[in-house]
Amino acid sequence: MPATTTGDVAALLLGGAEATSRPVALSPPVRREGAVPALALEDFSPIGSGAPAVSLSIAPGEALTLLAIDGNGADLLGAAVAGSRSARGGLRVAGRSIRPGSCLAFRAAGGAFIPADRRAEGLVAGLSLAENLFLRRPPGRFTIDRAALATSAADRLRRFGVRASGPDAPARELSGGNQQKLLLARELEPLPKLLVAIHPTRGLDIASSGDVRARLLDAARSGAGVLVVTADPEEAQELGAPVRVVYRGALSPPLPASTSLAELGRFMAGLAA
Amino acid sequence: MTGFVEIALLLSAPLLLAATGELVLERAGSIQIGLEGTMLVGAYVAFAVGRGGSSPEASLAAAAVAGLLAGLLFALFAVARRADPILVGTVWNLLALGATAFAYRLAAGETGSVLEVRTLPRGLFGIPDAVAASFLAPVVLHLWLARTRAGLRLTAAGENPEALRSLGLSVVAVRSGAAAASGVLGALGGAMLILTVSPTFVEGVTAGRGFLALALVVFARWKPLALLPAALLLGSVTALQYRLQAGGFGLPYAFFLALPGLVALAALALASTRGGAPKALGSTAP
Amino acid sequence: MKARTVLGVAIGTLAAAALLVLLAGASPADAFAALLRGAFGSKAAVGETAARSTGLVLTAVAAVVAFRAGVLNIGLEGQFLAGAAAAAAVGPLFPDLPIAARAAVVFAAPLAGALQAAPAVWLAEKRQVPPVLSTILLNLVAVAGVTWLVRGPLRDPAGDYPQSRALSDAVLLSPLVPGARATAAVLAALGLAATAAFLLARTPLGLALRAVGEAPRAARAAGLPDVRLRSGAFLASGALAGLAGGLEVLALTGRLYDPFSAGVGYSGIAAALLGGMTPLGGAASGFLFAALGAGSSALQRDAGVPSALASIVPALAVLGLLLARGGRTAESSR
Repeated sequence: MPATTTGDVAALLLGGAEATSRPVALSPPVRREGAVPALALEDFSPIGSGAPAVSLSIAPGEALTLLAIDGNGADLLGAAVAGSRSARGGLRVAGRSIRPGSCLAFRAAGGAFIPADRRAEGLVAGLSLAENLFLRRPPGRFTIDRAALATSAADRLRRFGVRASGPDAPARELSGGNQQKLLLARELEPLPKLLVAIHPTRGLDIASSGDVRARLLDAARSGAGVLVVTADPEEAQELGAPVRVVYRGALSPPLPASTSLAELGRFMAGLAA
Repeated sequence: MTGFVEIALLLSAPLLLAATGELVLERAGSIQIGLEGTMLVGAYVAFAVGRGGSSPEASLAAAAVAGLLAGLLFALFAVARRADPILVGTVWNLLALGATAFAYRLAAGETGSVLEVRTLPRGLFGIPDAVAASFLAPVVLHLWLARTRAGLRLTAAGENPEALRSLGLSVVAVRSGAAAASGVLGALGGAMLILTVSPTFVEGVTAGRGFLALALVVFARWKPLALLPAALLLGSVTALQYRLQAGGFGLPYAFFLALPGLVALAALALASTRGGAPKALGSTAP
Repeated sequence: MKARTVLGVAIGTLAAAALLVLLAGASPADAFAALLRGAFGSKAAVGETAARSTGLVLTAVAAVVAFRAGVLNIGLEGQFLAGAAAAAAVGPLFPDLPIAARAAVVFAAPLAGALQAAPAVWLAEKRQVPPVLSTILLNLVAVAGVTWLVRGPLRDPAGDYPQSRALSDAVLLSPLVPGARATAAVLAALGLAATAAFLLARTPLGLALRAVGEAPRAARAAGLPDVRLRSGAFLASGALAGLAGGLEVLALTGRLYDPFSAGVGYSGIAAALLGGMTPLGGAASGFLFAALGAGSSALQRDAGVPSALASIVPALAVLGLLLARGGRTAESSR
């Protein structure tokens, strides 16, 4: 494509938003050199996407943003890492080699996952909030300790700011923002080795979005590896983590979060060489 | 025409009619697993009307009317009221089995005597004309689906009901129409069984043919023309039972009873199904 | 569920039943009295109702276990037959050792039921064949299998009819109360219903099963072993239906004949639906259906109303419920 149009395209993509440069609000996460990577991909590609194989690594305590216009395979890549899509290639979570395409193995290695479609793939709408929080390991040995379930659920709902009538309310009654907070409450406790979050703030109001982003960065600061997939360049800036833009399945080199929206836009449109 | 080929054709026709009807409904996005019940109702009505002294042709027509009502009833529950079609179908089978048995007992009393009805006369091809016409049903459906505006709408109801609705058309109306058509064809299939090969009624006379027809639709990948060879295959396999009753092979008779089900299962396993299914199959109408 | 819905469905069903009785030329009031007498009017009647409820309660629980895990197991009928056939095969092996014979039946019948479901489990998980279709076809195969067994390998050489050899009287379960047909099998069925209710509501396994049934993709993404849970529930459902078939032979019929079942597997699904897809609700509906069955046998004897009434009325009740409630009902009504 002729170089003369690149600026126009980027401006078009971003709706002229490049003028507003946002401060990187949060301090960069602590990076622990020499630790076993929270995530290591080697020649990894989702099956059926036709995307080139990618390699990348995220250290514990580090966050990485995958930024892409929808349809470029960033969300497929994220879902494949979490085992919810089949893939081929090398996948290691916290040092453990995992067969791609298995949510079970991903979880066993210490992975956590916030899927793009929280209604279909995140929450079980008909179960209560408490049951959703403790799907895998409800309190109690052979039978569920209902009292313990209710108190620890109520405690967690409060700490994660989920607004609901109580732990026994069905999950389907929550608003989008509260559903996402509920998912975070489930996925971030106990702290995972790696968190994969796809479009974590899509469809949420501004307050909820800020809250969700802060939780993700908190997780990284506490030592988890965090992989965020987003289509929103401003969100990439606000997260303050290194950004890799995905275009037709291929990764850009790591860009600092302070990269201008115009520059990010050029990468997203595949116009940066 | 040799006996075996004739029996095979006579047994293929009910399967083919019922499967064609089911295919119409499934292409529209709903599913009636109570097809066995509808066939049973058609068989009973044909029997009862035939016993009343009417001609086989009139019995066939009466069965079609009963099938229409059965189809509309299904539409009321599973389309208009949006109840789960699988559950409606399961219960419909139970109801049809009970109701036909009840009605038969009332009509026949406690006597153990076999009550027969007149069968359809042979026509142009050595088989009854209605049976011969059955083999045209998938062809007509194929042309109708591909060539007419109504056919396209029906397909849209099964593939993308939201789009149909955004055009201002009622998905409920399209699916209800399909349910009515499938009811008529299913009941005709059941009636044809009575009016050709087994001119008497016993409880559960359809012997699982409605279930086989369901499998046929999947096996044919929801393509009408593919129903023809599939139905002929299962019809022939079923005909082996009749052949055997006349004395013949050393294999146990029950093996041939099980064979249609086994063949259908094997076909499903090999076909590895979802490919070709309407995208909104079994969905609730928007 | 609203009380008004229940009342409406009950009244509608009763009205339809009354109409059928009128069609059969009997008076609804007399028929209703005869029905009640036949179901509860005497020790023998109550025993008959209880005895008939064994199979219905167990198949209803079997339906709940599968449906709640998201598996539409329409193959309960075939699994019931497989269990009955297994019981008829192993039951006569130890005519003088009742304990051994009964243990063999209680072991073999659930196993046969699970094996009958196994091809559908494989087809569902490996070949994406919907269980609705595969189990329906497996029912046909099971019916043919019974036809073959009672004429072939299991045929009683002493009898004139195609039926299996009888279990000895010592092996057959004896009535709990003399003069009533009900045996310990009823208690076993109720115990299993209570166990299933407890498992589903109060254990981690039950929670996982409900999650997989409600939202399979979410359960999988959350790291639950979805395939194992679904397959396990499917096989357990088959085993329960198989046990129902085995107990039918061990407690009531003493042998296998053809046709053996008048749709108890399908009725179990209807009972589970009417019971709101809960084990105890399903058991209660199963008991109600059994009372209806016992009562309408009496009705046919006394008033000439065909006993097929007993399979029409439950179907009408469930249809009424589906019509009143609309929407999806496969999930629970929690």
